[in-house]
Amino acid sequence: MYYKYDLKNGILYDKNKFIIPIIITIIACIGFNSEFQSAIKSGYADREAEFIDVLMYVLKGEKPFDPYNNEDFKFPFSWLINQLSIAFIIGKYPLSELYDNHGAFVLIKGGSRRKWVLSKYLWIVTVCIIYYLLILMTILIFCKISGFAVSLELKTSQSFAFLTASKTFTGIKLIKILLLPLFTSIALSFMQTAISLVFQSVYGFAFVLGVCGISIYSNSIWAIGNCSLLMRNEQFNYSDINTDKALILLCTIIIISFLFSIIYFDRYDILRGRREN
Amino acid sequence: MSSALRHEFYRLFHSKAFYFSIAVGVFFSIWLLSEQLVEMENNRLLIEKYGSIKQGLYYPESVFNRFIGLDYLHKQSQTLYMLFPILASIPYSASYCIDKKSGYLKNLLTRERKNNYFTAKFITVFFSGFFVVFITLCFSLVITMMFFPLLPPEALTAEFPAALGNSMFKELFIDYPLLYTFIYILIDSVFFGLIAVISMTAGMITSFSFVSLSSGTILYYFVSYIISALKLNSYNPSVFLIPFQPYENIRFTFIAAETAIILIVCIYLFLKEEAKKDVL
Repeated sequence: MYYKYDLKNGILYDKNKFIIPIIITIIACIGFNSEFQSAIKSGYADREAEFIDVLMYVLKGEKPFDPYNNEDFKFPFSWLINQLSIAFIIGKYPLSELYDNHGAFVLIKGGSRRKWVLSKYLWIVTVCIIYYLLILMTILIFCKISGFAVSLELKTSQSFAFLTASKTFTGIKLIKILLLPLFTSIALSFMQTAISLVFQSVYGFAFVLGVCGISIYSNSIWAIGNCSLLMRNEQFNYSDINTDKALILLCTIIIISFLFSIIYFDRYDILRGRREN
Repeated sequence: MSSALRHEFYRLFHSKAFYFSIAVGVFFSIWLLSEQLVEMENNRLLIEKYGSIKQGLYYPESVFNRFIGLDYLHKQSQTLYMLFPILASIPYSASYCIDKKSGYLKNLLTRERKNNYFTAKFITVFFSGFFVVFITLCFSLVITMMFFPLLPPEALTAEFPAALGNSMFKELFIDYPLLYTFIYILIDSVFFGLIAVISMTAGMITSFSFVSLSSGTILYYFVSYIISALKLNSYNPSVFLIPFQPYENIRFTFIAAETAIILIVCIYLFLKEEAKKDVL
């Protein structure tokens, strides 16, 4: 019952917010096209661009920060704005529903606090999946318009326009890498919601921004934003960000945040929270 | 007007959020300083053991490359500058949205003229963001001065990015570095004060305090994203607000123009359009 309510109120009745990933992806696709065209002009394009190349471009982020080579460092705005947009969508709904809308009555009608938390976390997972699906769909349409082939094989290339590894990537290995941004967003959103539950939504949002900031300027796997900056993965760059390690770390964070929220919300004084918010 | 201002500032200085934002800034400043001091001690030991020849061209650390705005080596300084838009908005920018939603606005307007309330709110929100950034940066400058000497910037060492290439106020930084630092602190404080005003202005169209609070930050990064996609980094607020100037060709006219645009748009929307609306 709770989940159905969340899908209706948090997604169907508020679907305008999902225009954000489409706009961001269109801008990123235009950026890819201009880089690919300049690679062709300068003779550095050794193969045709494909769907997976555009997808990697949109999700790659930027190289690690090197203070001694500041001019070379590019700030990963596209990645940051994606994470902030998800944090904005997540921060807006679950708790405001409880404090500002008739969510408190729905909670009473359902009769279980645990199920309420579970439904909110399922809603978060759904939002993250929809967000990345919209990115995929936009890229797919862009590739159809631009005439790029659609394949799920990341071929090697020497061109600066593509993010590739020394060997061709296919199957499970590629899917695992592509799942990293989704899992990172879910883990960040779970942590954000847990913090929002204890303090306020805006502190959860500020926390996500802080984690993103530290991730951009450090190269450690513990700054979990790095897990979704694909360019910093050990497959593409010399670093300690291993795909399996990253997935285990992200799943651990997801489980801990969820368990914390369940336990905390069981003893939570909703009326006091309502007053303070 | 003065009673409305006094009331608004009283609410600002009695909100926990104001002190929280400053505490976050202070935390980053102390975290950065502790890392810098460990590095300085390691350097000292190295020189003691092997002589300065081991260090190559050695120029001692100075306030002007260790102050949080001028430090280009550590993640703390860059992360703090990333957090400033939200830290400036947290203390008071949602207050208009909350006043409107809770009905407090109607109570206030029975005692105060409408224009006075809106002008006082505008000024207080601006200064809430201004104070958070100003106090944080001044605190960082003072604690850096307690541990590092005021050695003038030396362009040859390449340790002072603002003294290199085509940087804005380059001569001022070389000749009067403390004045340059202070001017940059003021520029940052004014700009982030205006980001808080943007968040407050967003309260016109939403009843969710979270949406109002975060909208200034979202807009700041969205505009930065568009500008960086157009490869116009010198016009990018998240670039030109960093005192060490990570990119060349930053000009004061760009900063002044963007500041003026934000100010004019916010004054028009909040003080002209919103103040005209019937609250009841």
